[in-house]
Amino acid sequence: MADSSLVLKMAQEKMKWLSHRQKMVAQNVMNARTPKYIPKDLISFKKTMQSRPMSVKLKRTRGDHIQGKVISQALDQNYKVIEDFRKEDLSPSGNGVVMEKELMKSGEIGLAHKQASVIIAEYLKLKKIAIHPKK
Amino acid sequence: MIGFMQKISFFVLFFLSSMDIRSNNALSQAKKSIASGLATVRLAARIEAENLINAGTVAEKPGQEPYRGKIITVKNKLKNGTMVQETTIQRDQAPFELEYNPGHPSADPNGIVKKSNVRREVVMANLNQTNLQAMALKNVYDTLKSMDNHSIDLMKG
Repeated sequence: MADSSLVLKMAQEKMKWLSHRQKMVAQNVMNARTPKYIPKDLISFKKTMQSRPMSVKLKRTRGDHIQGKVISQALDQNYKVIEDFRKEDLSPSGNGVVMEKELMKSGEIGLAHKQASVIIAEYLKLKKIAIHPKK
Repeated sequence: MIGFMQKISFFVLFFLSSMDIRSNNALSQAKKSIASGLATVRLAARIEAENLINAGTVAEKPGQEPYRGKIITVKNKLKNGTMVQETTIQRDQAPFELEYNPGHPSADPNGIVKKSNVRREVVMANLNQTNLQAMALKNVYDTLKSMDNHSIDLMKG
């Protein structure tokens, strides 16, 4: 249970990231026939988590002070957007959207979102047990 | 005990409010994009239908122009942080189809009749693509809805 808040935070970040990714998919599908439109995507969740800024640490004036746990800050919705296309997929009008790919992404995002929400629900249940075991 | 449960529910509510209601912002933006896309698709289908029924028509009188096909052009625009589509309808500048038919009331002195510049096969291909895009948009919208439902299920506990 020690790391439950970390897991919750991770799941929460994942849900946010998935929402933003789904927004990108929606924009790509919307522009499936717009000339010269290049489909966009977010960088992977792993890279997003690695690249985010860390929060302020507690200042240690002596070497034997406890080093507080560093919990990274929320991303504040600054997700890095990349262009996701292959040259051979470009249509004569310069559009790079592949509909099948976008729909597959959409499905994956839906499943991952469900997964993250289930993780949160289960951890909340565990917290409830810890607070009030008889219930 | 009631106080205890209240505390728990407060915690859950606080957690949820800090978590997903804010992130739904992205979801609602995505929904607006989808709605804009569907509106564009609907307009495109209407324009294609107009083109289709006017394909092959001729001018009423000699010297007049027959029906010029319509073309829909789309421009992306950011509106309150949401990407939406702005549509404009333009006329097809392709040359008219000419047919030699001296007996036709619309024929010019050389016996040539001008026919509409709409090509049925192009219209049908466009309509097909429009249909597919509408289906894809619906699919993405369904996923968005299910994502919303996941968040609501969390609130149910």
